Amino acid sequence: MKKGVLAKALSGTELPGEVILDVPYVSLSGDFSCNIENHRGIISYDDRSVKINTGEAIIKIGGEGLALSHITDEIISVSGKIKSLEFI
Amino acid sequence: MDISTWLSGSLLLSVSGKYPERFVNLCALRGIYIKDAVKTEDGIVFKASPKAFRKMTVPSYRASCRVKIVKKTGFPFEIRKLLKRKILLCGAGLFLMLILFLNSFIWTIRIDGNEKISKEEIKILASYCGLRQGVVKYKVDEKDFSEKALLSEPRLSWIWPEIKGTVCYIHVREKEIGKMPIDTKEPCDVIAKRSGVIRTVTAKRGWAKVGEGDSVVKGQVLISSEKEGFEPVHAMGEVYASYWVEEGLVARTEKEIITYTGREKNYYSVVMGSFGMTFRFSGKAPFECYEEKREEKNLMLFGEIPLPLKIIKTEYKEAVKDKITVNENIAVKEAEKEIVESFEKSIREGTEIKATLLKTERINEKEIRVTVVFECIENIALTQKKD
Repeated sequence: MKKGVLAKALSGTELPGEVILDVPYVSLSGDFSCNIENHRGIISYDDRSVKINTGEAIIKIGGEGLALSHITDEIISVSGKIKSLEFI
Repeated sequence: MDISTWLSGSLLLSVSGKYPERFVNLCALRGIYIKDAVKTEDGIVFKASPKAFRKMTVPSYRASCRVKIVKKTGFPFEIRKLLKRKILLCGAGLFLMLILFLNSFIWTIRIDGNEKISKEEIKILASYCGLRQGVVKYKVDEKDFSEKALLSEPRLSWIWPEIKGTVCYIHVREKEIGKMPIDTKEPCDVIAKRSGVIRTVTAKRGWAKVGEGDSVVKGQVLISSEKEGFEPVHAMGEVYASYWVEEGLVARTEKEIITYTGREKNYYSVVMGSFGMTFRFSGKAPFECYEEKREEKNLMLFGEIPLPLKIIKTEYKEAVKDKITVNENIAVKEAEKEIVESFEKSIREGTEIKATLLKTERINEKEIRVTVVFECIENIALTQKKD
């Protein structure tokens, strides 16, 4: 409920949602690269599917030849042939 | 791999065990940077720096995983391999020392700025003053050399050696020895510097001896400095005279023109040493009718030390020769134009071409002699000191 109130308050401002609401920030470049900021770690990983914990939800990236090109405590970058992105 | 990664080194690591994903998460939490992680049958293969690898002990223990080095790349590892090869390192060191040693000498001397004094004379002078091929460049004192050279060669006004690498550039400036100007108080006559027919005489000082229409010869007095009853003066003035010059050439009505087809071929030869051993990377001329152009290039080491190797490039351009017949008038006009252009380039500044006269004479069916007579007007006055 608190997040719902905050979200409504944010909609009228220019403040970044991922910082205030502590939600993941997903950016997709074509179908070959996906960056996820504000994550809580990898749940499972193989070359066809990557599951990343973001607190609010689990992001499942499906595709072929998936690789983790960069991993830091703030950003995970997934590269390869991305076919699907799901919030589980 | 970028240059900074290569300089710091990079390891290809493989993590296998129960929870490789947990290992990755623990590394991420601890700020251990991992990249290009790829899933394999055994676990995950990824890249990390040697510094990051050293920090992976605790995460690997906590995730019950084993981290193995698959491959080492980068400068720190290459240098370690190289340090084991002592003979190679000695050789490289010797090579470097040899280059430094050879670079301490002057191998080439180049001279610029000379006009009347030949390059050989300047090289002999330089050698006498201690600057020659093979001398140690650090021992050359430019100021000392310059002073010694100027004292030894009175025709020079300035000389300076500039050493760049193993080449010494000697810059020279020669003294200009010109005519001493005549004092305006000294009595002088104005004489003709060439023969001609007088058009105008303007005597500013002195007494004119010729008038309009008079024919004069070279050396004849035009304005005299003396007159009875008067003190001799420094004669001055302008005397314009006409003279005629004939120039000619043979015009042809049948001409051969060369047209290039656009096809070209380059052949190369390498000439080694003074013996002239030639290695040709070519065959004989590729076209029946062609224009040949040859270029020779001497190979240099580091752009300064001449090697006994020369590359000769022979360029063949295919051409087709055709004979064309030109109208007589056009041939004469072209010849006249060529004569006029050539004459205009050769005349002195201040000379005016007053008129031209064209004369033609047929030699045979295909050849005509074209002559152009130029009437020129020039100031022929020349001041000469009285003996």
